[in-house]
Parts: sequence; structure tokens; C-alpha cells
Amino acid sequence: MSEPRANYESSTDIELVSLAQEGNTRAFDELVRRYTPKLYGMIYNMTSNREDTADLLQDVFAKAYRSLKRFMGRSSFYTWIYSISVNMTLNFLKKRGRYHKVSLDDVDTGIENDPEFIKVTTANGGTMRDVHVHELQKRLNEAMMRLSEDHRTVVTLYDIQGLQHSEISQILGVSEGTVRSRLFYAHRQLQNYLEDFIK
Amino acid sequence: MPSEDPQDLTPVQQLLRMRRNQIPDDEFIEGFLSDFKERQRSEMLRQSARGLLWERWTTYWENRAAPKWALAGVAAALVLGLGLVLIPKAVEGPMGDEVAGIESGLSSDIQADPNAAFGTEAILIMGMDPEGVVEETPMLLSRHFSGGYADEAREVKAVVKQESGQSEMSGREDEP
Repeated sequence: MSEPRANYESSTDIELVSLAQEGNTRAFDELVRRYTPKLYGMIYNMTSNREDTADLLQDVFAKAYRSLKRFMGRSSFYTWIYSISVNMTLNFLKKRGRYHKVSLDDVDTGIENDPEFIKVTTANGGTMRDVHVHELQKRLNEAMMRLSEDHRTVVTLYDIQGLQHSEISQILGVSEGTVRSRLFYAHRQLQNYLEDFIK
Repeated sequence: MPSEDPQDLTPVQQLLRMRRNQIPDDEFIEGFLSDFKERQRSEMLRQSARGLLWERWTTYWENRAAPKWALAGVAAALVLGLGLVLIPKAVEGPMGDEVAGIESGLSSDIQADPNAAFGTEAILIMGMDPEGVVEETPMLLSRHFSGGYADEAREVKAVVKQESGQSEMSGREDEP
């Protein structure tokens, strides 16, 4: 008999991980449900391509599933799955850069334009469909793709994903100082690229 | 969490933070999950035993805490060890036997039949008559030094010349 999903929804990550390590595939499904929104956003903001994002995210979960037995819980599952995602995305971007240079015309106009995916809401709950904001988001996407992969990663993790400096440092395996300096440089670069649009 | 006060943020940061609220709906997530499961099943059917083994091996090493250079060191040591084990075997192997056979057979072959060992050159050498071809000219080093053999020879020649000269002279004198 299959257990109702609600049983897992209230479980913590650690509980789900230990159940999945014992072979409970439903527990792993719940982890996939829980982390798909965040990881999809992270990968999408790094690749700016919907198809690549979906493929990569599947690879990430497949890898996590295979490696789950060896997850010892020294770090949180959250940090662990983010590390896998970031590493796989960076590897993918290196390969993609080696074989063909992505033109800014190939870059999707923005996650907010994906009809299947989007539920754009502002902090105050209203829907934001302003022409100016749309144009700015498009420009922001282009500007993000002009950043180096390392800089794009910290901007994505800090500003878009809302991770702390210490968490980013743990995920990327660099010092917090490096995270801060990359962030500072990336913000300055973005400001320069968008100065005509942001006054 | 990074600062949430919009007043502290630059316009770029404000623009970036708007993306935090972009989340996929439940339908998208369920669709993704079902695609993921389907893919896992089809991969299990497609992947060969060797492929699975290789994947497990690489995944195992990727999850080790050891730094990359340590893994590279281990790999280098393994290659070196394999080289040490395999290279002596290679010398003792088919090519090694061949070399060893040539070495041991050579001396006995020469003894038995020098022609077989040295081929045409041996035949030519043996067919030659050294005494008929080579002109021996005795040469003594002493002829180059005073008081040596050459000087003695010169003295002898001078005496012989003198004597013959005298006899010629006396012969003329004796003529009527």
C-alpha cells in the first residue's frame, strides 16, 4: 500500500534522507518536490535556457539519488544538493562554452515569460506585469550572461536564491571573503551594463 | 538571510530580488517528477553492467573528501605500480624469449658454422688468399732512430758500395 503524501510533507529533510537511504523512493520523491522550485530557479538563472535547465535538474536529482547512500549528514541536505547542482551547472556551462558561444539572442527572455513555469508575484502579493520591469528583466538576463560563471553563481545564490555568505562559501568551497568580493564585483558589473536602464 | 530592507539595496539588487518570487506551480513540479521517474526507469534498462560499474566508481570518488591532487597522486602511483609489474613481464614474455634465444644460439652457431653467423661477408673473407694479395713489407720502428736498424743497414750499404767501387777501380787499373 502506498502511504499518503501528507505523511512526508511534514517530515524534515534528514528524516526523508534516512528513509530514502533505506530504499523508500517516496521519501526521495518528496525531496525532489521540495527542492525542484529552488534548484530550477538557480539553474535557470545560470543557464538562461529552459530546456537545458530541465535536463540539468534531472541529472542533478539522478546523481543525488545514486549518491544518497554516501550522504553522511555532515552538512545539511540543502547544502549538499546545492553543491551538486552548482558543480554540475558549472561543468555544463564550461562544456557549452567550449563547443559553442551562446549568443545573447539565444538566451531566453526571462523566467517570467515561461507560461508553464511562472507565477510572478511581488512582495506585496500583487502581480507585476509592468512593461518597464519586463524590459529591465530582459536586460538583466543579458547582463547576467555577460558575467563570468563564478560571478553569476554568487549573484544567483545570494540575490536570487537568498543564501547567506557562509552557505555560499560552503557550497562553492571558497572563503567568505571571496564570496563577498565576487559579489561586489558582479554588482558593479551589472550596474555598468544596466546603467542606461536604471537611474 | 541577505538584507531585506529595500532601502539598503541598489536598483540592480532590487531587480535581482524580484526573481525570488518566481516559483513553479505544483503542476510543473508533478510533471517534472513524473519525467524524472520515467527517465530513471529507462536509464536502468539501457545502461550496461560495465556502464553502471563505471558510473558507481566515478560517483564514489567524486564524493570523497580528498582533494583532486590527492586523487591524481593515487592514480599516478597506481599507473607506476602497474608499470613496474607489467614491464618485467613484457621482457620475459614472447619478445623476451626471442631475444634470449638469439643470445644463447649465437655463440654455438658461430662455432658450428661461421658462415651461417656472418653470412656473405664470412664467405668472402674465407675465400681470399691472404698471402697472394697482401704484400708484406717489413717495417721496423728502429729505422727511424739513429743507431737503429736503418743506420746499420745504411752503413752496410755504404761498405758494400765502397768495396764494389774499389774493385771496379782496381779492375780498370789492371786493364792493359
